[in-house]
Amino acid sequence: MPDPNNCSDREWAEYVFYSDNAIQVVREWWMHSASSYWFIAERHTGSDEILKTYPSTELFKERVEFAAKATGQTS
Amino acid sequence: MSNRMRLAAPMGLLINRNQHVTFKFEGKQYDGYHGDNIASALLANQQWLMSRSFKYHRPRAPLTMAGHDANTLIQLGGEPNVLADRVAPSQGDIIEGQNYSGSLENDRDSILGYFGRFMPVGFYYRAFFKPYGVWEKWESVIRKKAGLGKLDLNFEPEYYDKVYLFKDVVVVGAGPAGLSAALTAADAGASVQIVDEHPILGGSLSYHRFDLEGKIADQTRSDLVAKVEAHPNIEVTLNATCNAWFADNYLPVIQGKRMYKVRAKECIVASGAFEQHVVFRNNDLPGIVVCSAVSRLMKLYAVKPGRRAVLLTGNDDAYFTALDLYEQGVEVAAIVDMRAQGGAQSVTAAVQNLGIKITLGSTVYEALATKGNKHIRGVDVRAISGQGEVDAQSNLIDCDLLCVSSGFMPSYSLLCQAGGQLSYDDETAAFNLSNLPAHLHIAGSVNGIHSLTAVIRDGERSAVDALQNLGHDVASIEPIECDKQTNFDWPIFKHPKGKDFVDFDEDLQVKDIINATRIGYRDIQLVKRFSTLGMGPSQGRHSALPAARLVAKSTQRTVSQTGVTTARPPYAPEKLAHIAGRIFDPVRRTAMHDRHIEMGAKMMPAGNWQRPAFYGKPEDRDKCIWAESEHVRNKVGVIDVSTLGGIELRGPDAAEFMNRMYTFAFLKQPVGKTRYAVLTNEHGVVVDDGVACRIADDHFYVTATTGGVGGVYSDMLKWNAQWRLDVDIANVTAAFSAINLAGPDSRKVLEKIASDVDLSAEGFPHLAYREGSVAGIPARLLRVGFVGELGYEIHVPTSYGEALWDAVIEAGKEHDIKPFGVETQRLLRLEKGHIIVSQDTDSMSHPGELDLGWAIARKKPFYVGGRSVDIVMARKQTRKLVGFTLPKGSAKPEEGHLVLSGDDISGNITSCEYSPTVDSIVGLAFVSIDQCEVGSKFEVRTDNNVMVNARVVKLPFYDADGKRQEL
Repeated sequence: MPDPNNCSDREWAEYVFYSDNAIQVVREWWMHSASSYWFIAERHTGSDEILKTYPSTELFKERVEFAAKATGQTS
Repeated sequence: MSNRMRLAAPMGLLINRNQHVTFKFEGKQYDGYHGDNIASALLANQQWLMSRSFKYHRPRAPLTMAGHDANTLIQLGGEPNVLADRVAPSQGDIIEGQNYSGSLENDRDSILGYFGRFMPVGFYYRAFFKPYGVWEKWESVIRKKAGLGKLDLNFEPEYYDKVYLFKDVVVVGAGPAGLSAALTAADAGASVQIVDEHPILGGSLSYHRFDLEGKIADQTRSDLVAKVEAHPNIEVTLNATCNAWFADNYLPVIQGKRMYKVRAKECIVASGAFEQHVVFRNNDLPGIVVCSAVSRLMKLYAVKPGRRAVLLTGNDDAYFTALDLYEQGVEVAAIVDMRAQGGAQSVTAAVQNLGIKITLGSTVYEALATKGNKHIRGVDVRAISGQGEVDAQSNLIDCDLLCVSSGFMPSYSLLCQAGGQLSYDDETAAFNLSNLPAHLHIAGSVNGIHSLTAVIRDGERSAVDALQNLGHDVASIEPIECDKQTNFDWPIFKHPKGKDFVDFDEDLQVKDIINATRIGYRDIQLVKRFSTLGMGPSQGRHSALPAARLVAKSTQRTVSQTGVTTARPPYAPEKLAHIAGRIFDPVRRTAMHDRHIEMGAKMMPAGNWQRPAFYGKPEDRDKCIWAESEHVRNKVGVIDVSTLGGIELRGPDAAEFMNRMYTFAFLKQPVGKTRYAVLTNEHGVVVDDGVACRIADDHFYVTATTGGVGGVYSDMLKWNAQWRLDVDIANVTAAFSAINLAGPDSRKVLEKIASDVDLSAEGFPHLAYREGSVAGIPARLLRVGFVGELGYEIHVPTSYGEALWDAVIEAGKEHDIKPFGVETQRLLRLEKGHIIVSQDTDSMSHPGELDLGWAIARKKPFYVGGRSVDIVMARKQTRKLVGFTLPKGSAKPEEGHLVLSGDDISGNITSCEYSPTVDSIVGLAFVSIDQCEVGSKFEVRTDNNVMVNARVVKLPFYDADGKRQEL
């Protein structure tokens, strides 16, 4: 995700609406619906084969902070 | 005399000669046996004519006797397009043919056959358009001619359902390969289901002759079937079609009025192969059948297929069929073998010993017909002089039955749906399958294996592969070799006078296929779409192979390069009723459900919950709702709101998490207060709302809509997986039951049962949150403004839900408390102008359109959808949700009715009811931005085009100062 406070409208719109539709291995969010557990899967979009699954903590290791907006204080 | 053409036992494996069935076909009475299908009963009475072909209205009769061709489509009572060779007749059935003008026997439209040259392939793309306006005249004529069968528009819906199965191994096809695969897998301990479209197990073992003595098939069949039927690990599903292959072996199996949705860890497709016809002039005449059809007729139904037969073949199978025919007293005039070298020595000798004439290297060039093309009466046999070429010398043979077999086409549909690829082997002149996904296996003739011992071994091999995938320690079996040559490489003999059919369903002749390529449609996908090849009910079972050969030759490519068209689900016709059949549809009930029933509630679904709509009879709906709403406004009412979503957030980052998820500001929300929480998605669209209660600095309890909470909860988990804030998120919807006690007298009622909470207006003000015990039950109490009266939402642990209801009803007796339902609540909130997400919002509505700008904390660093909301709200707005009124007595708009601006559609009604409180019709609607000013009017088109003029008013419609809810 681009920094929502520091990107152009166009960059933001492309993040929200666009998706690469290439035949390749993609990294995706999957959720196990019975336990609501979110994890990462790597899938080949051509064959639908799942190559790897792993906890999202392997990619998201740290707490994410959002900087205050330039114009005013947080509320 | 009926049943003239019956054979003696042991022929007739399926029929019971002691049970007769009589039915009418085309007005005439027929007598069959229990176990017959409609076609076999008709053929037993020498009624071959069953349909008229699509374009030329040529007489047609069974070709396969297996439901694999479309020649047997008949109208059974009120149901069109029934395959006569797949369905049994019931006593008294009224059956008709289809697609004729006059009668099946004398179809006036058969004259179309003579106009064949005016209807070349794809003619309808160019005809009927000139001169201008001529199409209107042709359209009604063509509409009457097109279509097969008649719909009964007065039919009553019937019960269809679904069953969900999970198996280790599903075997599709119960022939020798399928049976042996199922046994091998089941013996190793796997749970197995075997599916077959026929009423009995056995496949080709039940009708085909595999040896000269004619004994092996019966013996093998009894042996395998007995073992399968006795096996505790095998579930047998007969008269069932596996209609598709979906990812990870998800298989719809249709049996009667039931669809089994089967998830198989391993799937073995032993679906067999389709016997192929030969292309020559008049190859579609009644009395021309594939060899296996004749075997089925005799063996399964004890029907003598004719008096004098000729067999036309490219393999040894016809020789065995000749032996069958001879044994059943049919005169076999000749075997015409397209192969110059003929068949195996043993079969050739066996046939010759019976005095049957064999003509090698020859073909039938033309079939001769009785008057009106009603039946075959003879064949013109010629020597083959080259690929598709014959000598000039004719040799005429009389016959009333012609059995053909030019080879086999694997039943590839499921396998190609799964990504399997067909490639053509020029040596064997056959297509074979490869590139199957893991966990999908093939065995038997679909795998190009034809000799019986090899087929059985192939079944075992495929089961072993499946068992290894399941983790069993079994030794692999080497791929099976089978050198039995079954396919003749060019069984296509184009005739100058045509009527040499490649595709029977669509009446496509050799020249039609070749001309399509000459016009420029060289790809088989384009040939199909231009000519309609393979688009009929038999879906290319017989036309794909000759068409691939013809197109390959005509475009100078190999047959492999040409290929066949894409196989897509469903394999066989699938009724909408199968898809719509009863599913596993659990219903959720609140803890107070029984009380609602006892109090006469009219229940309604809300998501998968059951909720009271109102209390009373359905026909009194409006009166009940108005009475309930008046009671809440003037006295006190209680509604079960247990279905409302509830999410518990605990941890040092609970407030920070709230701040990032919802649009409003939560970091400084005081403990003991509630705050409205609006959720936008990343597009900036409002997708849910609720009330957030701050129970402690690090503890929030936030509600969500009944239908939205599941999505809200999973979105929260996904976001926090990325933000890694220190907060626990729990979906506690089912853990709490809740009521809303509302009305000016609600405090008086609550005072009687909530002893440890200060309920005074100062102690528990509007929008506050308190905890305490109500009737001894630990409770969370919220003062919220949804219905616009003094009121308390009381949340308790679910197991106390019914007790809470009882306590409130008891305490409320002296104040005349009455229950109210969801529909009443909707009216009450509408009078206050409160939106309901997904009723008054849609997939595009952002906070600006909904007047929710006040609920957005613009200065926050971040909330989900924040940037998008900024962008869409900064643009020039195009529409707005407004409140409107209409005088009572006007036609009342319904949800969805259109708002017009001149001739254009500018919006729609989202909520609208008559309000007894303000004695007019009130509602919410999206209107265009230049219609949204308070005081302006807009037109609404209601039912039957009645137009009404609504007036925009400032919200709310009732108690604008909010005094009632702040008591």
